[in-house]
Amino acid sequence: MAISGNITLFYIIGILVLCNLGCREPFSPEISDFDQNILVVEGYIEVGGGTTQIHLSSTSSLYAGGDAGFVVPQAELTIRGEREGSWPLQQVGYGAYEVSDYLPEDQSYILSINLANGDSYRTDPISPMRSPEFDLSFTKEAGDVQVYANTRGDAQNQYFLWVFEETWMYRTPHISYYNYDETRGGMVMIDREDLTYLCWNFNRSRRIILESSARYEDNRIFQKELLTIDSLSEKLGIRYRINARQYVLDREAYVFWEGLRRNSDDIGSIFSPLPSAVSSNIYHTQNADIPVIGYISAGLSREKEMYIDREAVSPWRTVIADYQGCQIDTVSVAEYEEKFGRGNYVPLYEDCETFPCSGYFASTAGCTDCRLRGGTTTRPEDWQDD
Amino acid sequence: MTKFFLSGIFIFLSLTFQVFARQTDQERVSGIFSGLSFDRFAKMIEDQSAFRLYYLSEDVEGLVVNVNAYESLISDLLQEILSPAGIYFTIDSQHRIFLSKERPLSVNLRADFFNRQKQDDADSENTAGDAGSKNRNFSKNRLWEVGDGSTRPERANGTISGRVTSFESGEPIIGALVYTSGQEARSITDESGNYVITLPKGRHTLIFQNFGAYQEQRQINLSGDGRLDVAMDDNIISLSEVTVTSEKSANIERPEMGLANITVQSLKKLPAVLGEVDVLRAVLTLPGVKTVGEASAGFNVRGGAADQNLILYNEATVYNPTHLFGMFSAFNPDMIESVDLYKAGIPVQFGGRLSSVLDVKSKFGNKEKIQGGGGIGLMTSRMYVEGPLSANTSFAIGGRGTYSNWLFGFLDEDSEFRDSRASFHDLNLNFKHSPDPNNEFRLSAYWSQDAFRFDRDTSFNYQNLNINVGWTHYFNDKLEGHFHLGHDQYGFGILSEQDPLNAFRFGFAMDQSSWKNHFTYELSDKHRLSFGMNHLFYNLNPGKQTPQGPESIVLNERVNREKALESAFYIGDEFEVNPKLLINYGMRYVIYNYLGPNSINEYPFNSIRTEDTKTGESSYGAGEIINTYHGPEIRISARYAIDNFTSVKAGFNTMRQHLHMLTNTAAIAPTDTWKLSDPYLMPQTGRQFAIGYFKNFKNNVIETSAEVYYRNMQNLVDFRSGATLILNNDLEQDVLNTRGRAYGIELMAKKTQGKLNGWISYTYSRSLLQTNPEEWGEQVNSGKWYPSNFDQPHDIMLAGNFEFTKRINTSLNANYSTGRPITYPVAKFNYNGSERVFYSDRNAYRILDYFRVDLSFNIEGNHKIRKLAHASWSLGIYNILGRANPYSVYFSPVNGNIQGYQLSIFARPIPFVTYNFRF
Repeated sequence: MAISGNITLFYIIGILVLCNLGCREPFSPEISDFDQNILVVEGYIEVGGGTTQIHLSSTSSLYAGGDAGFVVPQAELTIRGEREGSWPLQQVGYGAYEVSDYLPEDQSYILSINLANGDSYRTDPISPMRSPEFDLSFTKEAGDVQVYANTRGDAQNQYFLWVFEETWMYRTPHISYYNYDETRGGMVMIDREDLTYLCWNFNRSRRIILESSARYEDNRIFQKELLTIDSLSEKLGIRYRINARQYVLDREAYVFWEGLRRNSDDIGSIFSPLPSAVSSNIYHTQNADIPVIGYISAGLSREKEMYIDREAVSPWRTVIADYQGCQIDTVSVAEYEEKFGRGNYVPLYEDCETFPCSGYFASTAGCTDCRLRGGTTTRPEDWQDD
Repeated sequence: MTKFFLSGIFIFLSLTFQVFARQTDQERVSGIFSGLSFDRFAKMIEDQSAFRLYYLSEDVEGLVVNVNAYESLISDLLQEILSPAGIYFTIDSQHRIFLSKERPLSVNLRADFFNRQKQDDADSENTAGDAGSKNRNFSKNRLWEVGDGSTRPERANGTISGRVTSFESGEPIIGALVYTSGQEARSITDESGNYVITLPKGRHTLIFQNFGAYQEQRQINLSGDGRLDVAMDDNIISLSEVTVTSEKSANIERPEMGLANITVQSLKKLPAVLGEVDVLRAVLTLPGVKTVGEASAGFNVRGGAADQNLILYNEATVYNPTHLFGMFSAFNPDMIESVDLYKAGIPVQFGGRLSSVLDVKSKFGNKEKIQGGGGIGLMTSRMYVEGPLSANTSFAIGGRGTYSNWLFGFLDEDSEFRDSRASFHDLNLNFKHSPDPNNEFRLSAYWSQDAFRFDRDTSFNYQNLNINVGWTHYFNDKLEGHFHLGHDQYGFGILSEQDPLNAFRFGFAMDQSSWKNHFTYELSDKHRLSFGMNHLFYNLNPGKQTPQGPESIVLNERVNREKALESAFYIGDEFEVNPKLLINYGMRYVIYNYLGPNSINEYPFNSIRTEDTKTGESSYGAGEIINTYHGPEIRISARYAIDNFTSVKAGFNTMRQHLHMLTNTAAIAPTDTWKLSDPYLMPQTGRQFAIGYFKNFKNNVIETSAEVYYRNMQNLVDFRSGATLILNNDLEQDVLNTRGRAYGIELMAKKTQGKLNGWISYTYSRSLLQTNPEEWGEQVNSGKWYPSNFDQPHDIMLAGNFEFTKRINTSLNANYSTGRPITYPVAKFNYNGSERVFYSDRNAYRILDYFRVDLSFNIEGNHKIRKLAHASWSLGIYNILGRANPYSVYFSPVNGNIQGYQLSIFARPIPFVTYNFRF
């Protein structure tokens, strides 16, 4: 018996191979001009006394600068009840239409849209669905905070959609108590209510958050994640509020939202599904081939609010990148004009460490004015302190 | 008695030998040979006489023949032509003329030669068998008596059957051509190395030509039906020999078209991606075979979907033929014996898929000695051992595994794949037992497993498991039977433990049990029948979700188990109408029964099927037939040989498929599930017309072919937008009945020999789909025809090998193809707080064209056959141009703005070096 063997040694640049899962680069394919402006309808017919809001816009070219979507001006929108009633919507802003009347819960509705250019659209009859109550909760795990919705569907109400708005407070590292008055060459104390060290900032959900309760025991949805607040986030630095709204959808609406979600979140990785054609329940009245984007549902939505204080998630360390380089300088009286007048320094408070006071402590506007980061110093109307 | 008889033959032989030798050089030839090359002259001589000339082309290079002959002695003629060039010639009794440069060849044997041979023959009980290794040269020149002249003396012909095996390994040699000069009859050895040839009784020189390898020959005296087994070299690199021949080569001769055979040698010459020789990558170099991207598990044959390929490994169906997201094929390259891909002209014994059959056969061990091999790499290791267990039993075992996990640790701290883990293993075990020449038993077992996870809490695994036993029995010289019993399993599972309350386990599993019997029967000289039946019992667990852990509130959910029995009965005939026309025709009748227990939703006849239109459910008990589909499949292919170097082939076949892969991704994902045909999901059917023209040049050194095909397909499976494919018990509500058509032309030129060899092919093909106009649900692209995901019209493939020396050769692969279709976003809009995109019609655009060049060098050690150590290096670069071929283009909102991305799989040159040694 002959002994024989074979040992093969492969030498490969293995790390290069692993880039296979991540070799992506920005790319802008040439898309032949798509000159149709497709009507986009977004909104929810709120029955039982809530406010119905419908937004009209249109698609824009993929590479058009600025925000997507042109506003569609001057349209007439009407909600008609299947059994009774007709409610015209009032224009309340560019492309925004509203009605706050009481719409009975026990009939179907049709939304019709007449554009200024003569095109008219209408929806299929929509039966209202009443959302069950829900609540919000959060957990802290591995340094991050997850915020969840919890609800319970039933055999009729199985598909849920959530949207939310966040509001949080943040603080600048330094406080400017004075303004430099160039004409007088002196300092003016700022009124307490005009100080700019404390802001509220806002955000709204961008992801499409959907769940079907049919998967779960007793149709109970437990801890559906709405968002994750990453560790070091400024959102939990002082006090945070999430205001979420829960809608219940019928199956077709769920298919629409799921298609939209997949087309946004799921496309392009190795095993992603193909883009879905997204259905709609809105049709052009003369030509059914003209596409429309959007799906209008009706019903009674639920709203919930939850505050999270820094203490509830402590220890919570906040790092705001914009404030990383913030330092305090001292500016002597002789330098006022140069530093506060022409430079971008702002006075904090008087430097009286030696007597007599030798000048002012100073920092930059970026480190003292929280509004420069997009927040507002105006306290939101419904904000509750603890 | 036998010994005595044998001695008689040799005495007779030794007497006649002299006579022949004297007679042959006295034969006379005529003709005007003016200004001819020696090659041309030699061909003319061979055409008009029984002489065959053997010489090295270098010896006669530049030699011009200028003679007129009228009834001249062949010896005089040759003397006149050759002596000025200093070439000697020798003529033997078989009308063979050997030319040599230095000195004349001796065709006489040593005086004691036959005495020694008699002794050896006395040791061997098999009168017609091969005398063994010691006297191989003798075997060529000895006269073999075949058949018993006393039985059926009235017949003019005798049929020789036998088996051609490798001298080195004892394995059968497949596809060797068996022929004799001056006769049209020829045979090609089948997958067991068997051949059958019918010749007029009398003396013949049987030639066994294994393409790309050695040639063996046997002098026979045929007096009736008999048997002759031959062992021949299969892998010694022979010095290039040139024989003047007018024989047709296999591509001209074989009736099948659209058949591609990949030898293990050519497989090993293709540049490897990660240093692994890979069957599926080799298949992709063939014309008409495409893939949607480099990390895709599937391949597409002639415009068909990836689930339309039947992938057989030793007759077992492999449902997922890849490891690691498609980067490696699941077949251990060390274990592979042969790879055949049928694109058209699918033999009648195969069925069940619409597009192709990939028939991979592995080794069952050689009978001579224990051998082994293996490999150790950065990411994978493999090992195999084969050899005899006893005189009649051999085995082969091979396995592979990875330990690639450590590589993930090198990734960036924040890479999303840092917590990824991936591993795979496969194991293949084969046994063969041949108690006597008429029986052969085989056992083959195959197991492969993959496991990976992308993050800490979600893991994924899949596995193939196949086991089968086979028995081949030679009832007599004419009838042989194959019996096969097998069980195949495939399944995958997902485990998610991210959150104890939502933790779940999802599983998909399918298994099939098969019983096949296949017979071939030599009805007459002109008819060779194949017939048999296949039975497949499918048992699918299409999806099951269970809560994981005590806290989980996930529901237990399962899609109803599916069972079905698919039976096929077939008969085919290879009918040689005359030497020019060969027709292979057959029919397969398939009966498919969808079986209970199951419950089927009911809908009003001729209505859209949705949750709302559902009228009820009907339940079926175990074993109850829910519904039946049946129908014939027709297979016809014909070859007409215009001359020895030219043939035209045409084929028509129809196919049926009852098993569908549910996928709505472009690539085959490992999470794709399968579904059986049910009352609503009709079997996919397809038909293909193909015609081809084959012509060889330069004595078959250059093979060219042109094939044209047209296919249409019905009842393909597509889905409504937003369909959920897993855990869907009402899948009929989401299915869109789709039809397809595909057509194309494949042009190929191949140089089979020489320092520079390889092939170049060009394919133009289209693959189009249309939602069935009768479909009530959605009409994709408003009911218009649209390109399928794998519609890549232009495709050019170059595979070249250049041998610098016998020890150094280099190979280059270049592949260009049109980019695959893709659905692009064409506009953007705001919805729910973010920019979203509006997509074009399905597959209205294409990604950038694909172009890749790979290069590799193989450096061999010296070529002594028997020595202690054998070493070789192979090194190369995959994607040497570093072109970032896009796999996909997608758009995603980033901070509320749309950004396009292009995703590439192997975007950089990937070098590899392999060191092999064997002892």
